[in-house]
Amino acid sequence: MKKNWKYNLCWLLVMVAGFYLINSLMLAGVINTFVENMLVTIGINIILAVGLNLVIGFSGQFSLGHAGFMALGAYSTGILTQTMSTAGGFYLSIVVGVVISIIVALIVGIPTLRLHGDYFAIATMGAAEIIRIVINNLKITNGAAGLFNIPQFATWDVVYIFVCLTTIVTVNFIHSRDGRAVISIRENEIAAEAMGVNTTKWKLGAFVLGAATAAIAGSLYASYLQTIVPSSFGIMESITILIYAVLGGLGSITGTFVATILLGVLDTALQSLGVLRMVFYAIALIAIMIFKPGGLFGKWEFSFKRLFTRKQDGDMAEVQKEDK
Amino acid sequence: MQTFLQQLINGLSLGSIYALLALGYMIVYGISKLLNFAHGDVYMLGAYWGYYTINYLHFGFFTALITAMIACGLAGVIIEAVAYRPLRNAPRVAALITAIGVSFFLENGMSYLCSSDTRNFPQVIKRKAFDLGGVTISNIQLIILVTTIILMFGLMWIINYTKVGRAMRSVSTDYDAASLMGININHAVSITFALGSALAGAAGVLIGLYYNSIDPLMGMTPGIKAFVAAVLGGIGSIPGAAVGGFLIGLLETGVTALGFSAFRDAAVYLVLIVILLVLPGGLFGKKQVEKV
Amino acid sequence: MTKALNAEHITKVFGGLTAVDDVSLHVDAKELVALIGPNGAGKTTFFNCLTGVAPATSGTVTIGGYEVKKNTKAYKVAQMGISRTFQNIRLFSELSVLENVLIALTNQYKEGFFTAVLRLPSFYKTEASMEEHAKRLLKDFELEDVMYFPAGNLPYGVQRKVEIVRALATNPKIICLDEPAAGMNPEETADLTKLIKKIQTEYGIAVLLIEHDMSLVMKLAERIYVLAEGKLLAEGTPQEIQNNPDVINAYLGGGANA
Repeated sequence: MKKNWKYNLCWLLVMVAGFYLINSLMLAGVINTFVENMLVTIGINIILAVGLNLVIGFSGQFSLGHAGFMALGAYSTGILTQTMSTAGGFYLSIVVGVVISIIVALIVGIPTLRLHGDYFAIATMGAAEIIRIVINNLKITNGAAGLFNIPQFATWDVVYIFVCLTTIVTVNFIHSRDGRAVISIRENEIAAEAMGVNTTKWKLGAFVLGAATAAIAGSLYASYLQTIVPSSFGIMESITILIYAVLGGLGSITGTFVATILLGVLDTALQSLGVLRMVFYAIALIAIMIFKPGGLFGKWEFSFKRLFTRKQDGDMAEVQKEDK
Repeated sequence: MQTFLQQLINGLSLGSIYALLALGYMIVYGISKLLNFAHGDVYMLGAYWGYYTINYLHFGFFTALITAMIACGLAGVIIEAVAYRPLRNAPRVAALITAIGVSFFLENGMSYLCSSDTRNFPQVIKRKAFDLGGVTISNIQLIILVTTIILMFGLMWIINYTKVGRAMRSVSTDYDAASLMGININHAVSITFALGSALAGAAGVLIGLYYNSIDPLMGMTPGIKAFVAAVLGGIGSIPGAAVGGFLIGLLETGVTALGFSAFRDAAVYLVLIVILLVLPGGLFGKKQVEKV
Repeated sequence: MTKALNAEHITKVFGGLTAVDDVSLHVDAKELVALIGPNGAGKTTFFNCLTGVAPATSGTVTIGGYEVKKNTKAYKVAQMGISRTFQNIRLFSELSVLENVLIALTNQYKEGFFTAVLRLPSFYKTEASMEEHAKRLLKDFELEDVMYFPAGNLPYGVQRKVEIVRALATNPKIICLDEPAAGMNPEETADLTKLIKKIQTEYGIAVLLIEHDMSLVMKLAERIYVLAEGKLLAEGTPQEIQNNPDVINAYLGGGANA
């Protein structure tokens, strides 16, 4: 029991250290607005990609509609904070976005999670497009022109804290009894049923949790950029999130972090190249997949537990077991 | 009644483009189980091929159409060999990401080389409208419909009655078994990509003629719609893909004619989801049952 | 005593084909019963009817005295106390052997979403007792050496064993084993015989066994049911079955007499 607290403390230290590192670099003027913008974008993408990895990498359900749930969060914040322009209003709008997102995820998920593989993918993609088209045609969302002058409450530190929170929730969920049930569905759905795992319930559980975190990311996105248009939440956005998750390795949260940071930096660094940037990006994508078809990290996770056990004794089997 | 017939004709011409794309998408999907995101971009290549050969080499329409099919078929073979073949035994999602990569590459490569501006497709065939008792049908619509039907039956003939078609069918059923029967898998997959991409190329030239404008991103949405059409009709069924394509074309023109053009795509996706829920294998598809 | 399993008049029709035709079968508590029959006799289909994977067209199943209602989902049927293995092994192959067993323990331990996400002390307590439970089982079946290996990387025979232990971990009233000895060498089969006997005697769980290896069936089974072309052909003790002319005929084929 004591040991567990040691590992948790390590993670806490890492998070606090990261915060102070960025904070002091910001104060020292090393991080300018340009870099800050990049960091926040990376943070929001991490929340999205971790959520999608839960759905695709852990429960094995190939969703292509993540941007739809992001849109729900973004518009909840965009609409609510315009009338309630306070920090309290902002956090309330996040909650509202999450609740709406959960309801929509249930409506979409209950019928469509019966579908398999690519059929589920195309159904979720369709559902997300329907969400976007509806937003595009409503008055309250200001149609295709979108919302602007959204008050900015999501500064980099708020985003940082939400990245930590959503990741903790997701990772802790994965490494629990329910998380194992979710993973068993990915591994073999029929065997999972035979072991008494309610597969429908846990597929839906993972899908809803993913949708809720996407809504949070959407809220942060709206509040940080202060402008949102429906076209930002189309199929391309869902695909971009998918790329982060797959490139890092489906089934590896560590990989999602690394891939999202790597691609975020690459994207910013190539910015000056204009159209050619996307050509290089495309070639990089193809090359990485050909040489690392399982993603950069496969299913490997970084773990303090393993790091410590390895130091204490070299027994590999012991090391593997302590991971979980 | 007249407006209905008019919309029917418009819907069928648009639908035949989707049908051509869906057919190509479906045979490629059938053999490689790959969501080929680049399919729509091959269609864009076909449109650009038509644009350049007609404008600069002064090709006639049919020469442009046939050469576009050959060029796109070749492009399909190259794409498969370079980007998809190395991943044949990899997780499917890896191949999907490379497909997205290829799609990005073609879209942005084209934007870089030819600028991302919209261009006017040369009108090689003078538009003529025929009046059939209040319903107009243009010669271009007729060309599109007839070309689609010819290509469709051509594809059916190749797949059902030729040796190559038999090889393709056997490979799409079971790679290992087909290879044990002495079928060259690489060969069969290449031919499938060539055929599928050739159909996309033809669709590209036809759409250029129909809508009169092309741009490097023109393939994105039709590519996705083509997959929707293939799923709607039922993966693995040629008539299914064609019917799916026509259905989407009709649905889009119908919804637009009713004054809901803003919800055109939403209607397509809604119909897709409903059909999948009722018939998980699509309209003409077989339901897959996992053996326990 | 209540029967572990009672299936009455089970019929399963696929399209126009009657794969299982009016089969009734029961297994008493702690009894070891075998279901045999030529290939294609409908044995696995019958298993699928019992476990809710492919529910029967008609007929009733009771598990431990409780009736399985129509259209009960497979996971609910499993929770009622029936567990199974599969003809073509279905392990969670990328997960470790230990995790495979932990997943089978899912329904025997309570762990709330918030307890897990917030890592409250009770989470660690539950996890520790689950792990201890799983390890106890693995140790009992001499699998503790491989418990941290991915299940899919193990030799075939060991995978079969893991699958049986995983089925046992759900704490069932009856375990259905679908051809557990298929593809095993004589040594592994001998090992398996002991394992099945152990489940019955030490754990007190009834076993229903589909098997082609007749020596194994004759050694283990207390009663045998014979299925041929979807119909129940015979039922009896191993001796009775061995001397039943119908059974001999079914196995050698009707042509043998002609």
